[in-house]
Amino acid sequence: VRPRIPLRQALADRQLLGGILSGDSWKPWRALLIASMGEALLDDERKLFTALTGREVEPLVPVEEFAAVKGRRAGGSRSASTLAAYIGGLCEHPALVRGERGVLLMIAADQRQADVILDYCEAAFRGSPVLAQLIESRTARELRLTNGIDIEVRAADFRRLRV
Amino acid sequence: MELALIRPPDAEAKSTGSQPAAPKKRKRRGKWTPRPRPLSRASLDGRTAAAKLFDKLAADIATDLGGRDQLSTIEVCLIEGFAGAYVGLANINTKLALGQAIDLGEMSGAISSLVRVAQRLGTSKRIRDITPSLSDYLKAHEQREPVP
Repeated sequence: VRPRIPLRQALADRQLLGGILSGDSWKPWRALLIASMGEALLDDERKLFTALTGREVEPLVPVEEFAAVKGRRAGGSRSASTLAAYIGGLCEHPALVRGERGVLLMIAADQRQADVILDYCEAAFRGSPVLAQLIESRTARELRLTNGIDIEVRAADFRRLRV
Repeated sequence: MELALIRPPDAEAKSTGSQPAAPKKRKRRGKWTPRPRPLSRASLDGRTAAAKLFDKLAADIATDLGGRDQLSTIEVCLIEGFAGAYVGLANINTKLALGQAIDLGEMSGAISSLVRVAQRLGTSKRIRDITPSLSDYLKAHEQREPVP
């Protein structure tokens, strides 16, 4: 994954993903997402990061795994769908060869939650005229992008889950 | 002041004859026929009232349909056809208003042509999408705020 624009700038730009996680209440999530993409944090963000993770400094490299222990209504779905929109729409994927489609899989607790996450993800694209051009089609379980990425949502099922 | 006639160095040799030899004309083979050149609006000065009306109408329609660069060649030809038919119809209407005799067949033919072309081109204004592509936007963004 090669970012075309840093997540911090994308979240601050209203023509891209700005406005989705705006306001002070979303500051902790913004700090966590920015740190998870390997970007440096500002001092006040680092304090939040330390308070939430117990780590002194952010990783400064993109993380392989980001686990959040959180309660309901904590904004996890919205944050995750924003991150999915960033990785799917604003990052390059040089590992994909021409003609190959990348699958960005989002797994939800159940189908209803999966639908909500995909709605959030689509809204992140539709909210920006620039990003909306990337939407090729939307089905019940998939958001197909013109850059060769399919954002898929599925309900957690250990028997059927295959990428 | 003196004026001197300067002759080229090879002039002496040539001047021995009565007259310098004229270049030979190439003989045309067969019968010469001019190439057909269709009349073009580019060769006209465009100052007549009809030409001005034609140009204004064509330009206005092209603007309504999103600008010249958004139109296909066929659309441009249709627009010119529409403008030409309208200029003719305007001429007929003026004659009618002046109380002169008009050819009703010619008038209805012009109106029918206008309607047919208008149905093809569309009668509403086309919204021009000026949203930059993601690549263009990111390029412009990078120039404003270089990626660290």
